[in-house]
Amino acid sequence: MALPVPSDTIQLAETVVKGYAPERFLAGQKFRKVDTTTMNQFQFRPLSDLLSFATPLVIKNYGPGQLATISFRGTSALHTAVLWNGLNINQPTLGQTDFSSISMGGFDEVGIQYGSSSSVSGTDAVGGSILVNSKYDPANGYHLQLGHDQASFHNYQTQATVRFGCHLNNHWHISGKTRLMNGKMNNHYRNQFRNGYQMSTSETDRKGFVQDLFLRDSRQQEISAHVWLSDNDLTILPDDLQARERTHTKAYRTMVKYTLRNWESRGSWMRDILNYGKGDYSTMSLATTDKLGFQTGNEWQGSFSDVLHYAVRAGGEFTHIRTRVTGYGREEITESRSDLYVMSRLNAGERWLFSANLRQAFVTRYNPPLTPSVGLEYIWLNKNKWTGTFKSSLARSYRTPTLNERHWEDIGNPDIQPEHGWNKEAGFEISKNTSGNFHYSGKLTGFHQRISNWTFWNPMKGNRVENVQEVLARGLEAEIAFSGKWNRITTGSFFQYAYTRSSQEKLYDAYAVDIIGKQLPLTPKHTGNLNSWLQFRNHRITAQISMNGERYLTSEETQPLHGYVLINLLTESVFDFKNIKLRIQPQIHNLTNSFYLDVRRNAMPGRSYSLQLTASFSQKPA
Amino acid sequence: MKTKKLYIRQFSNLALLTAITVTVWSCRVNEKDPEGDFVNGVIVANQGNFLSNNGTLSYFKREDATSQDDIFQKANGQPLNAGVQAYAEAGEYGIILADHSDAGRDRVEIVEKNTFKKVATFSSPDIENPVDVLAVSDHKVYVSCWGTTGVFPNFYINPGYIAVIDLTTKTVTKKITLEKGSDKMALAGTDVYVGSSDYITALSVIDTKTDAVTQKINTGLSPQPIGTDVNGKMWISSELKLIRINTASYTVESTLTVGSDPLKVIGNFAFSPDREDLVFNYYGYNINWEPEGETISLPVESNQVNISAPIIKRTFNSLNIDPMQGLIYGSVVPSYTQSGYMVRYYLNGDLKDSIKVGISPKQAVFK
Repeated sequence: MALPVPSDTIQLAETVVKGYAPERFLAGQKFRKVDTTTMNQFQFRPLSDLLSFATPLVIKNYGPGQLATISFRGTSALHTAVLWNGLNINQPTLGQTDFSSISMGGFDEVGIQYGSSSSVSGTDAVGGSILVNSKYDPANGYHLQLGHDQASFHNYQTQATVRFGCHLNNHWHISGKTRLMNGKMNNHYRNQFRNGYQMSTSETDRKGFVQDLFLRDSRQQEISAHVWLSDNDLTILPDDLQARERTHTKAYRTMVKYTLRNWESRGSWMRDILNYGKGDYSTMSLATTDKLGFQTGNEWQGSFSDVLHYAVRAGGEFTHIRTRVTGYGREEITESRSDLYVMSRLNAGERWLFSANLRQAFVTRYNPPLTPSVGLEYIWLNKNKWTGTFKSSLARSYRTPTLNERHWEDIGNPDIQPEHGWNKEAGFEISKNTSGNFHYSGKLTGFHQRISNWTFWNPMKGNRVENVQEVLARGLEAEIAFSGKWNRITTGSFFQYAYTRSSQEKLYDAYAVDIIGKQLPLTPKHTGNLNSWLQFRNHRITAQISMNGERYLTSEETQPLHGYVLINLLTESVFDFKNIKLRIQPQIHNLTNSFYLDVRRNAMPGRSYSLQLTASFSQKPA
Repeated sequence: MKTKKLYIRQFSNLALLTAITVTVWSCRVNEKDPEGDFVNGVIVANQGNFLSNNGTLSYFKREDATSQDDIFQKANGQPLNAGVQAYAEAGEYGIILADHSDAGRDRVEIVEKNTFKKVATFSSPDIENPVDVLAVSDHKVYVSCWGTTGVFPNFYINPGYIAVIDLTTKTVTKKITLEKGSDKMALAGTDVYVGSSDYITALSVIDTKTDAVTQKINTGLSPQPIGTDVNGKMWISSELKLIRINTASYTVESTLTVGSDPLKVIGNFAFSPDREDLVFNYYGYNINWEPEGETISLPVESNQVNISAPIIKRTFNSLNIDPMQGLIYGSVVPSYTQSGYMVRYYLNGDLKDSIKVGISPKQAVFK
């Protein structure tokens, strides 16, 4: 199944991060890792921008530099797990992540896990998961990188990174990365209106600090420590001292991991701060949540015969949450959660792969259901440079209720139950590899998921949250990729399309008949993107095209926000001078000046420009 | 041949019908009825969803079974792009309070009342958080505003005010500074009574001849004026109390208490067409958070409120009474992303029918 692909092209799902479970134990499900070139192109941007252009996932934008939530395979913003080195970093109060506050500089790799993976990743992994990871770099010496992105509307970001690696003695190797990020979106538009629609006036300050440290020894022992601090300060209407609105989020994410052969343990502490104020900020609505976590697990690998190889992993996770939120009307709320899991995979010959997993989460009063998943992959074609794979899986998913759903004064519901669903999917992949220079592949995946106990803040019950709805999400996803190499020229295209039907199916009151079977709000049926590039020596030109179908503001398929196509044109040149490397990336965003609206019906910006400059200095040890 | 004959006959019938139609049409034109798509009927102000800025105005004729939604968009080619707080008509104009989710972007849109064509817009700093609109005369309207708000519990950080709009010159002629949280307004002769949503007890009275505050009446916490009854008395609500004020002496004449359940509230007031009954909701939530409430009709001469005999065993998001047909319009909000309904009842509480309107309906205006 593993296919060699040119290093510059998009890699398929083969990369396995050691000690990292989802893609290894979720046979039959779709996983995609974002290639390094795309990572570089979005280096100074928030994760929401990358997801908009490099995946068919739906990002709901509330304005430039403002809240950006996700809809993965027709599910809600609460149904995507965001995992940083395996740790769920969704805010426990909101149960979601603002992807505009996640700077791409915070991590080295991004993976997209499609479909339910609650059996492996726990709560929130209903529609899919976004995996962001720090990457171990075995290189010795040190490496200094300075980067700056200057964009239209007086927007900018600067990054400074130091990487180092060396042997401490015969056994131990140490390596690490330190990064500082600072940026500001001033959004100074020349014209406040587009097509009669006003643009949103806001400023966003973004700061970040990342520290990764890996200690490895030759006896398969590894200690790693990770720190990721981010500060995102959004002010709407900043010049109006009476009316300005400030949303200040700070995240402290820390983790220590210890791995000894197949045994891995992890301790983590996270603090999420979300403060909101208006005017003179004398009264702020405050929310601080601490999350202390510990996880340990072991993996056993072996063979039943020459052709039957297995891996089993079992372990547990414990999380303690402490939160203080102005809106809860109580001093402090604490909660403990624990999870037990067992995962397994079996390779039968060269053609069959099976996996079966089981997880039980325990949350006082909110026990999610027992969560199994099974999957299989079968290589039905493997000759004449063609490879064909069939994949299928069945997985249960769940979402533990958020703290807001349970504890918000008056409208929170302490009796709310976890949502849960069954995700079924099946797909074919076919690919052809010619002499290592040309690669073609196609993928078609169908999915079907019914999610019960879907929560709804019910105006008929004083806006209290209830488990009354049931959502059926189903769809088809297609991918076509091509890459080729002629002498010094490489080229390629990658096209993804998703058809998503997601509808509320339950008659929970007399008025629900008006919305049954209708597409969920802000969920386009058609989304797609195309990424095409041409590279000659160290120069590359890339077109990123994002297609977004019509969406509705309502549950009745009325009040449409019209579909739109966004095109970014990027060029990149790399200049090598011995130890110094200079990368210059001029980018044109929204090339065709396409008109579109954010979900609050403000106009989004037209054509704009940016210039990214990155200088790297490498010093290899003598 | 037969076919041809039939064809001719049909044609002549059609010609006759056309002639009659033209004649009737001419008569109508001669009567000089006001022109426009929204002449007689009901306008519903729909607030829309929070943050979506998708409030609308719905319209239907009284005999219609369905409504037209978003008539502002139909008439002007663009949506309001705001939540709708309230609607009123004065003279030839309709006044729409358009409340945007971003501070500094609230507006008052003035439209021709029968066509809904936009004629003027007022915005910040004249208008910030508009709450209620009242036609003082054919040429003058009051718009009560909270001003810029803060964060709970310090929500009302600024004095409220009334923007006085002159419809002839299309200008804001004055801002009358009031208590924090200035809210509902009601007209009694040449006085306008203004309530407040903040924790204050003063009710303000404004003389519309001078556009100045002339009286402050202490009635109870967060007082809201309802309107005048058949006897010309001004009714005020405060917590669970209904207070009757003598508009000549500005003094409290009587106070009635509705029920004794401290978890319940009263709201959504409307007078019957003859102004002899006050209809309102008395509601709360039981221990299972099921809404419990009813619609009560109180004769204005009563000395006490009988909560045991509601006319409708149900409560609404808003309540208005059509003075022409004497029908109660109770609005229902099933969710903030789907159409609401106007449920119509006879004055005795018998159900008539319901009409689907826009998202989160909060007021019916009759014309």
